[in-house]
Order: sequence, then C-alpha cells, then structure tokens
Amino acid sequence: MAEDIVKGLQSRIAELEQMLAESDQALEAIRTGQVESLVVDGPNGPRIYSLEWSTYSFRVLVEAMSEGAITLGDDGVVLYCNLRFAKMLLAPLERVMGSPLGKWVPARWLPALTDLLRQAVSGDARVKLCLFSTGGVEVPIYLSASTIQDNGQRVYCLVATDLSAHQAA
Amino acid sequence: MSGKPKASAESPETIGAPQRHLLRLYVTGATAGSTRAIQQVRRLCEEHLAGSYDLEVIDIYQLPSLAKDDQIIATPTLIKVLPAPLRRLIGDLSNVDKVLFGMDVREQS
Repeated sequence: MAEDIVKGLQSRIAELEQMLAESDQALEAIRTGQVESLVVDGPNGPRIYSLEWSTYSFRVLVEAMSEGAITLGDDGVVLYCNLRFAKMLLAPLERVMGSPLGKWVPARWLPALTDLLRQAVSGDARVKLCLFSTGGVEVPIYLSASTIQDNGQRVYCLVATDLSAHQAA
Repeated sequence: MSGKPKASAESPETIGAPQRHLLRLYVTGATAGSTRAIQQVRRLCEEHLAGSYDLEVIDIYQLPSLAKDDQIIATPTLIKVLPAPLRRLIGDLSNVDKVLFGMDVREQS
C-alpha cells in the first residue's frame, strides 16, 4: 500500500520534472534568440508577434541620427529618447527615459518649453533654449516639436539639435 | 553603459531612514506597450513612493547589455532591485495590486 503511494509520487515527480524542463527550454529559446516570433492567444484567435520590429529601419534611423529624438507624454514625462539626447545631458539613458523633461531644463527656460509644447498642439513649433547637463553645464539646443495621437493619447515628438558645436565654431 | 548606480545603503543619509526604492523597467523602444508601462509605473511611484524612489527605464533596443545582465525574456519587465529581495514582474502592468506587491509597497491603512 505504502509502496504504491511512493511509486505514484515518484512518477508524478518525474512528470513534473519533465514539464519544468520543457518550460525552461522554451524560456531559454526565447531568451537566446532561437525563436523568430511569439504567438499569443487573443480574443480573435492567435496573434503573431515578430521579434523584429516591423519599422526596424525607422528605429535604426532614430537611434543613429545626430540629433536628439524624444517623445513626451501629456504630463511632460520622457517616454522615449535616443542615446544621442542622453549624451547631450551627459546622463545615462535609463535615467532620462521615464523622467520629466522639465527636470533637465533650467528654471528660466521652463516658460520657453511650456510655450513650445502649447504651440506644438496646433502645428510644428521650434525654439532655442538650454538644457542642464549632469555636470551642471548649460547646453544650448534648438528644439522642434509636433504632436501625434497615439491610442487616443497626445504624444509630443521632439527633435533636439545641439548648438554648442555651432556656437564654438 | 556602466551607468547602473550601486546600492548606497551605507551612505550616511540613509542610515535609520526607510530605504529608497530602486526600480528598473525594461521596455522596447517607443511602442504603445512601453508607453503604457512607463506611465503606469511612474503614476504608482508618484502616488506611493513620492520622493523616495529611483526609476530606471531601460530600452533594450538601445541598451541590450543591461537586458542580458538581468536575464530579461520579454518586455515589459519591472524589477524591484531595492529594497531586497529582488522581485520581477513580467508582462502587463495594468493590475495595480500586482504591481504594488511587486514594488513591495504596503498600503497605508
């Protein structure tokens, strides 16, 4: 009787070990880039997510351009920026994304930023202002802004050109 | 990049004070899911941890080496680095209770 119970438990353990190994393998495959897409069940059947962004070339363009590229939520928080913009601030990218843009703008330039964002709602707008870099140095930039509607939310799209090189020349 | 701050639990100003939260949110570029995750985490941080948290938002397209360090398998992933123990939350962050639990935030009653 006791032997039967032990046998039953042993086979259950073996079964669970196998299931765990399969799960681990699947996760490892995803993590190490062995899969090309992920399939996720949705209300209208499976949805296939390519692991390559369909707008791959645009992403590379934004990441490689020599201007800073930033998107802001309606509350002024940086939702996305490229490494070039973080470098203008001499700050790690992960500290700039998710932070309010106003944190990087000296107080006397904040009204210019507010004006820019207000004008951007009705069309393209641009302004010269300064940003703080992490070292406390002010970096003059040219900032242009426009807005898009993304999933019903207003998102500001900004491009920042570093003017310090131009001024030094 | 080597910009990952070290835990500074031993610094004089934090002795005896509640430890700051260090949260790391992994996203992919400027997608709608990334935007939602950033807004949700920031909102909850401001509501529950105002002034006592550091949030790092990591775009794994631009900083892939950081994703490898933390063994990220999907985005968004929220990792609570401090206070210990480390907790991770993968996927949809729209469930407030789940995210608060992951952030180790206890509701004041």
